[in-house]
Amino acid sequence: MATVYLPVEPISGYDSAARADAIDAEVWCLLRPAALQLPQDTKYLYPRIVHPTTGQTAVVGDTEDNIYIHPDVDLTNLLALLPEVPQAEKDGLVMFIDMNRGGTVPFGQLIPSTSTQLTQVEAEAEGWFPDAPY
Amino acid sequence: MRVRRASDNVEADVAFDAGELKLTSAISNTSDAQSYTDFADFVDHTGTPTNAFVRTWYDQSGNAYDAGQSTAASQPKIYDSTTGLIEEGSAGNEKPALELGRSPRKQLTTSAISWSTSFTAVTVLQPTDDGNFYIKNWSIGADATARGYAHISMTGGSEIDWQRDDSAMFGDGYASTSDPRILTTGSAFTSGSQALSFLSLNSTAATLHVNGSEPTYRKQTTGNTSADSDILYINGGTTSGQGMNGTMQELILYTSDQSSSRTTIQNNVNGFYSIY
Repeated sequence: MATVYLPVEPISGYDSAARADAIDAEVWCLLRPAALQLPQDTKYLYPRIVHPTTGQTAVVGDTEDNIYIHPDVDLTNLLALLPEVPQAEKDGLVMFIDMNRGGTVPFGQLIPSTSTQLTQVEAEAEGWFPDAPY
Repeated sequence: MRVRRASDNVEADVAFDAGELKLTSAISNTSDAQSYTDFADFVDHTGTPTNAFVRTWYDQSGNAYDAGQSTAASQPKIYDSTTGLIEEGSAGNEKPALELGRSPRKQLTTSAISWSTSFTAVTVLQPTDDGNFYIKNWSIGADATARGYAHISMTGGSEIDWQRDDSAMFGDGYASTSDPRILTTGSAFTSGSQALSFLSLNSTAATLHVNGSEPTYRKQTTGNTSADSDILYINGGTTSGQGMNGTMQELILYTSDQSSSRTTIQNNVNGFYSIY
């Protein structure tokens, strides 16, 4: 297990929390496309945490998780949530996903190069966990 | 209970069979629109079993405070692909249990629950000592403002006013000045042992009974709890981590004083689980 903290920056139309939720939901759709989900079903893959002072949201993933790629996956919404990612990298992601439909890929290989990645120690050092014993 | 199987993330409602979740429980509302003979069939118990996780732990009180988790990685496990249905209890008394976890934390939450001046909580759990501080079994409200609040931890050391191996805390908020509250002086829970706890907090009672016995207290203050309405967090609170390794089988929360019915309630719950 290799826990990774992925702080999410806001983009137009989404604050950090809303964008983190949207990205996480689209990652879950890699495993279980929205068309196959009932309203009462699971909607996200990874937990999100909120920085106690800045209010920024981070997705807490695991780079070693093998993510099942559903054969019917559609990347349109996920790519739209990544405007800062270079087009060439998006094209590479699409190709990578297409090659692995029906198979699995490590979550670590889905993280864009533009995303900040923090280890547990780094996240602690940057104040993601309050010292007070709540 | 609504369950997600890991093999393909199909979900289904699992019914009670003779009053409890079993491999023979009926299946309905599947997200793949398929029919299954029973829960065993759903998880392919006799073929290639798959892990299964709790999407929703349905409230049995009739108040629709269903406890849910929409994030896959945070869902407690109910069926293990190797060992089968997760259960706790002495031989012959095994009952289904939710496998919780601290890292990654497994957690269920409800819609907001309202209360006024009293709390009573009955829990069946089996904590596992992992050496951590601040192991919350359940709490209500965001951590900084939590009112009803339960906490357990089990091994040596001390910090603030909660001490490992010295603490079962239940109070009107987390801070040492948040009264009414109790703090036990002895270790109220034993790692790896199933326990039935009965907690009361109101103007006349601030008590904890574990398996029918009352521990001694380092602090015990009575008083009305602060009226509020907030979310119930099962396993931890809003601060990341701080959950419990171990299992949980029951949580009955009364927003009223049930201390006068303690023996009746304990006997009823213990009659089902046969813990002590």
